Amino acid sequence: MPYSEEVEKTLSEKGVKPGDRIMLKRGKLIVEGILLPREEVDFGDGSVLVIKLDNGYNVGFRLDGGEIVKLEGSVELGRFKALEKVEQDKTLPPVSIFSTGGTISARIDYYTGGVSMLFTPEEVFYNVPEVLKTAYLRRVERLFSLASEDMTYREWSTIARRAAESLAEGDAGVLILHGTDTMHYTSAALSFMLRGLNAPVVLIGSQRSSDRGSRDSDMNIICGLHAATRMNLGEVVVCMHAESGDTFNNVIRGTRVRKMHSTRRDAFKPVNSPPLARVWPDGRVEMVEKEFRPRGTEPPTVDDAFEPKTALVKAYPGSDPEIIDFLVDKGYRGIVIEGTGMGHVPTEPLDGRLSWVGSVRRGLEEGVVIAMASQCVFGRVDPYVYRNARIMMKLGVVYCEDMLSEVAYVKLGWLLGHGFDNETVKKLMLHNFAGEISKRSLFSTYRL
Amino acid sequence: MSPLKVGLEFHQRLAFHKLFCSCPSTSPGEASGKVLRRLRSSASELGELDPAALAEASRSRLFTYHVDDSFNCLVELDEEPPHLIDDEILDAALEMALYFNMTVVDEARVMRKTVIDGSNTSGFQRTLLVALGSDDSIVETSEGPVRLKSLCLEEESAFIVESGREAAEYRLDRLGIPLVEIATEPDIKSPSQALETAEEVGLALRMTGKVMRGLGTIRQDLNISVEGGARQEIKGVQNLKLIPEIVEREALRQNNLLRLRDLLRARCSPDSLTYDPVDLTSVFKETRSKLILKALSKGDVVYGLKAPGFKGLLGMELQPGRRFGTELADYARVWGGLQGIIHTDELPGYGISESEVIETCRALDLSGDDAGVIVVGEPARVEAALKAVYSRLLKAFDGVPSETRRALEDGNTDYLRPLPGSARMYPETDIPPIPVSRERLEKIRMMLPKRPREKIRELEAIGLNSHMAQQLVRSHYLFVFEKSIRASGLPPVAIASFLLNTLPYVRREGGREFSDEELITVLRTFPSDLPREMIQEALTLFADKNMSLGEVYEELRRRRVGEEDLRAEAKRLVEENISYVKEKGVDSVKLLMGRMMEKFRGVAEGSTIYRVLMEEVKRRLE
Repeated sequence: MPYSEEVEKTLSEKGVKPGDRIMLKRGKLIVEGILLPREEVDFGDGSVLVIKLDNGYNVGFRLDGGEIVKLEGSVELGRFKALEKVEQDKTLPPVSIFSTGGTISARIDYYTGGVSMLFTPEEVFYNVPEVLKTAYLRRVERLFSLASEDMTYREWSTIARRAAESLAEGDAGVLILHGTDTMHYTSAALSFMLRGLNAPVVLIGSQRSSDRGSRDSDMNIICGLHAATRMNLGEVVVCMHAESGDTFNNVIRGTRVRKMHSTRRDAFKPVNSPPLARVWPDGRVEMVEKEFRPRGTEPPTVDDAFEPKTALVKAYPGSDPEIIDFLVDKGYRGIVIEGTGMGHVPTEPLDGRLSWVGSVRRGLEEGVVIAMASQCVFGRVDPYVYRNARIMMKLGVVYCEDMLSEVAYVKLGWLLGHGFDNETVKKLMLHNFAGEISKRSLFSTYRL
Repeated sequence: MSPLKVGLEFHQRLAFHKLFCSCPSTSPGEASGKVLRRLRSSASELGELDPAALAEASRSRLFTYHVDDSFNCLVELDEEPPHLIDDEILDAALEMALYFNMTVVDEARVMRKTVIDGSNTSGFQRTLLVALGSDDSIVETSEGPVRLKSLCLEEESAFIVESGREAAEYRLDRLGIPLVEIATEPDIKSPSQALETAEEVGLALRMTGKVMRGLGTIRQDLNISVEGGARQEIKGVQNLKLIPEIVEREALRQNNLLRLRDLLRARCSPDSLTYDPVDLTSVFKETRSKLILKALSKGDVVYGLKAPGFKGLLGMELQPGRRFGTELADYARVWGGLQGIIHTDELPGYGISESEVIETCRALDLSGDDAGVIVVGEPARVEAALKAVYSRLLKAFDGVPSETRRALEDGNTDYLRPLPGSARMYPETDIPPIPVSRERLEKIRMMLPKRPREKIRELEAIGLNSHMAQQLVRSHYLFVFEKSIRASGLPPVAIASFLLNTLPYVRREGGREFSDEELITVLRTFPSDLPREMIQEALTLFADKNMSLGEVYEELRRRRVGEEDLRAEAKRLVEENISYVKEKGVDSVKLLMGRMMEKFRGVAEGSTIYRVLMEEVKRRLE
């Protein structure tokens, strides 16, 4: 909320604008400091002046018949100091960094608290000087400044193309800075879109803002660069804190990773699979998984087709199957249902209207591919144990084994984008393209 | 001595749950886990990095946090955004501001104050300015009024368990406890006025009944300067009584530094001081100095720096027991992590031989008024230490550098870090601005606590004598007293006497502390048929044995000794000491009473024991 009209009027009469040094005299109150703008989205009161005092505190005082005096000593707000250029060691492994937005690319304006997207190589060097000894940052590029949830398949495609180009130019690896909320969708998409990867494509993010000393981004950048340059790996991975402490990072396959906590540093966990490796800030890398795709010599190709008319729907007690009808009516081509347990939806509720059988049958008949994953997150779906799953299976729903529902959604959209016939899509849904499915459910991989 | 200017920052913990989450503020439980973290500096955003932050960043330490579900949640671990501030906590701060006639902000804004010594897991302390002072907001002292500058509400830092150069350990039980910080203008002009100001502020805050009591719940920072000197921020004075000593010794230190400056300027100019460290390792190849020998065997190096014009000044005493050389050693310790320095004013010493001294002086090119500083350690630390020493030597030409210093137990202070700039404060973006309405303030204003003088009169009116009334108002128990008398069968005087006399006695004897809640519960319900001497026992049973109140009083009734038993024992005692009783007459009661008390303390009323004993003595004498 900006300043109220009344305040704006007073300010313009006095020739005062945010950034100016002012004195507010109101009764026995005398306040001196820098006038600040009000935040864009603000819960406060537009008639309250926000002033930064010399001791650093921001305070809000209503004008209330008081007097504003403009003083000498205004400052320029919202300007970031340009940083001096830094010489790099070009004998180190070359890496490209692409920033896409999110907390890890956000910078705070220390005066106003406003957040803006900014990203230059020098910022990386000044904040994380260790980088200068780890890799040669051949390219640091801001692709977009998008919050995680504003990403779409179009951005996935752009990232895939830029990463492939960089690898073709000889990079040892690629680092992608991403918002954390949907990072696991992007990592899954890149896993499918980058075919024949010859080097690691590493996604990292930040769970804490970069202004604070406790930020996790620096260690994620360092460990991410170690993963990108040192690992003998040709896969898309996420490299984030393994623990709440700043101890080591997990390197997790892009199709096996999920954000499991809204705020903790160690939010990203491998699901139905061990992490591929562990990485320490000092450069140590310890492989955990034995089966992985090693580096190759040929750069990857990009296969970035995607069908946007793909949806992810959750079944729950009392859920109305109208949602399926709606999607079918709207011309959707693929639906992933996040079923309960081993992949169940209501089939025989007391209120017959809430059975999903009719709507699912109709959808399938009208040519929509419907796939089933579990909302349990961990574990495998099974269409043969309970009757309601058997019904779905018999109707033609694809049961996605131990694939994450988010990954199933991305994969279905990707497959549908290719224009295959439905039977091919169904068959390919169960083909393992990027480690998203495994035959064995390991005892040790269920760990929270 | 030059005129003195002192400002006080008074910190008082409030008796509420934590400021930015709902964790309890009191929980002495054991930690069950550890989390390892590092804090990093943010050079790029600040452009100019805060010097205090840089001092810490250059050390890059590893922090271990001791955690437990009983006293912290994800907020203290910096794993979850802060929760909003509870109205009642902000109300308490507003009440204190209004009590002091301060002007409350119309909109409070939570700030982040950069702190990267590890005492805050986030790398900053959250704080909000609640009110500003004006000429009307004053604390009266016998040496004149002291104006208040500001009142802030902030979160307490983590408790330090262990601190070293490379690592530090903290417990997260204390982190986040709400505290108010009240800063005065530098109106204080004497050591005794500083103490009185602190006492008056503390008293006023206690009048609200919303403050914590006990060790560590208050803490003062002092801003001290003498004319021609410079402002020092002295941190962490927990003992009020130490304030005058600290002020006095700091004034002495600044005056001595000014004297040192004048002596120095008369000898040479700052231009003669250059940073040209000399490798002295070869000088000590054959040394017999155990200190240097031990270092060299680890591969350490010895370096020296010429301090032109400083001869005799390095050994100059600034405060009792602290020399200018000690100040240099502080810098070597803080910036280089070294134990200290050696300087030529104290040589020969440390087992360093005459010839090594001569060789050192030659290597450093010392003559006339020159002195030299020698440091021993790992090369990187030696360099950091010598650079810091050099910067401190240079500042000596200007007089007194502004510093953040730490209060020591003897009243001296040592160097902690440079004074922080205002760059270390920026908005807490996770908490929206907090509007403070006129209506809210008016409501609080109607309920403001009484002034101490008024309160004393009130207490006298319900039967306390004036000494007791004053004592009670100045104690931490006024709130407990008032809550207790409302429903208690005990007379106010008895409650006051218990709080003011019995409790301190119990504490001196090593007994446990009782919480306000425990005190109030027992004082309110203590039955009139039990002797008052049993209050303490009732508290112990209630607090330690986890008994219900009913069970406690039943148990005490069982333990109570009746008049018949008392009389039997009195008779026995009189007979046993019959010759003494006959000799001393009624006066013999004094001795016998002691014996009776040994046996019946806490299980029978003292006055009853005395009456029964007296009756028996008199009867026997008749």
